[in-house]
Amino acid sequence: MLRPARRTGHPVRLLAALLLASVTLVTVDLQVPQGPTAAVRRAGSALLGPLVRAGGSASDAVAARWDALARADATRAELERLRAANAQLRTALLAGEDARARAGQLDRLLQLTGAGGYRVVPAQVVAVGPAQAFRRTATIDVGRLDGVRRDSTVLAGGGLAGRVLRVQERTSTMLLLVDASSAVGARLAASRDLAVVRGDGSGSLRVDLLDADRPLAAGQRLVTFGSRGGTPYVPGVPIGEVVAVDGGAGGAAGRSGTVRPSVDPDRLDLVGVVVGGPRRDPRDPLLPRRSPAAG
Amino acid sequence: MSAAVARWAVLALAAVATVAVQVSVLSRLPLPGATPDLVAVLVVGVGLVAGSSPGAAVGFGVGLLLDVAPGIDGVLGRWALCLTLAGWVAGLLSARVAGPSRRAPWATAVGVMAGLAAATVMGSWGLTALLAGDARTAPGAMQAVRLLPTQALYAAVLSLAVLPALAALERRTGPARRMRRPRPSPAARNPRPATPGQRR
Repeated sequence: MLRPARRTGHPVRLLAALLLASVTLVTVDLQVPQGPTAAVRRAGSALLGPLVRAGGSASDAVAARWDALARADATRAELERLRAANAQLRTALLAGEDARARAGQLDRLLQLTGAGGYRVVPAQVVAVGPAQAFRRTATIDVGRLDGVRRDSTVLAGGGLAGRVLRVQERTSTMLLLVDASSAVGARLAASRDLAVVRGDGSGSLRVDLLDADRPLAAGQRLVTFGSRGGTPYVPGVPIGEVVAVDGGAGGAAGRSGTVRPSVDPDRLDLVGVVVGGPRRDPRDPLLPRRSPAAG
Repeated sequence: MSAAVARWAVLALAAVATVAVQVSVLSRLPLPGATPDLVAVLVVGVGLVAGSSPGAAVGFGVGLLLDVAPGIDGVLGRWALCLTLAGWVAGLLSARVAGPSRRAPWATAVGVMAGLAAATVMGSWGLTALLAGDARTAPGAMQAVRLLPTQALYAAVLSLAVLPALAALERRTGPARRMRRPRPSPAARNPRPATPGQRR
């Protein structure tokens, strides 16, 4: 089925031209971020945005099927027996489950943000970068028209999801907390010690305590320290829980460790973007009410 | 002429659809390891089936689309550079494995696909690390190496669907067909005349 490459024209010249064009794009984008490459990006999101939004809703259905398939593996025989009986009920059940799950996510989101008096726009993740891009980003279906600004905090039901990197009219691109370039000022919820939480790019977080003399232990919970003006991060949002502390020799021993994020970055679905804060700082952390200020 | 237009129109539509499906569906599948990389499979497939120049051209176009696609953020031109090279090398390898007249067996094509798809992961990693600026935010090499087996596996599986489709497109609209079409004589049924001097 394969044919040899045809010797037509000057293929090497074509290659050289394309490579030169790519390198020029890279250079221009690095040197003049708001220059001509911004127009290219706008054109791209205008072309692909509607397609991706349509694909995003299809992908929710695909993901639901996929999960169901994976679970059904062990009980395939029984599933086959029940399938005929359940055929009619399944559609309604899936829809109901989906609605309940979304309602639950929205409830947790509202509970989280209601405490602090922040205004939040709910949003849906419509596109995610592939793992081989080595950059953990996602696109959500709210944008400038909904009040989203660059560096707005993005929350999910369990806590902090990330921040907004780029805003278009109707969509925005967010940087996930687990991206390698993401760094968040944090406090240990119980001891109020300051720390920096960084993504490691693969799915978990690293924490470094700023004060070398303070203890770090597994089970401690981290919340955002908060930035001036609430951007990029509003204060008091749960980040995650320390699951392991680095031991052994070395300067960093005992004060850095691994954090399991409160929000699973691989299953982001419904998120909320903080578009406005209370007029005065509420001094009131956004920790979930069930476990107030637990450490 | 119209066959050439049809060929590039189909490829352009396929490119847009592939990028949209890549970021909105494939990247969100809860699969272990790499994300099934339909984009790389398309580019390498075009290179294998149609040669270096179409491979590089499609690689550049698809890469640029992926660079500006929703869900993806990073330096513009990164994927364009990476996939241009992938499409080009795929064309060179197809010439190498196919020889001047033979057609390569499917197994070879799928193997080349898996290898080149894995190579794009390393290319993407290299460019990201190079352009990161800050060594602390650069992805580690292990992070890329961990993705290689699943990337190759998913690419091999996807290519079983993509390669036949591209081969069919090339049969109907590729240059070989265009060369045959204006000559309805019996001699024209054979795409390779026995001797070059057999002109009328």
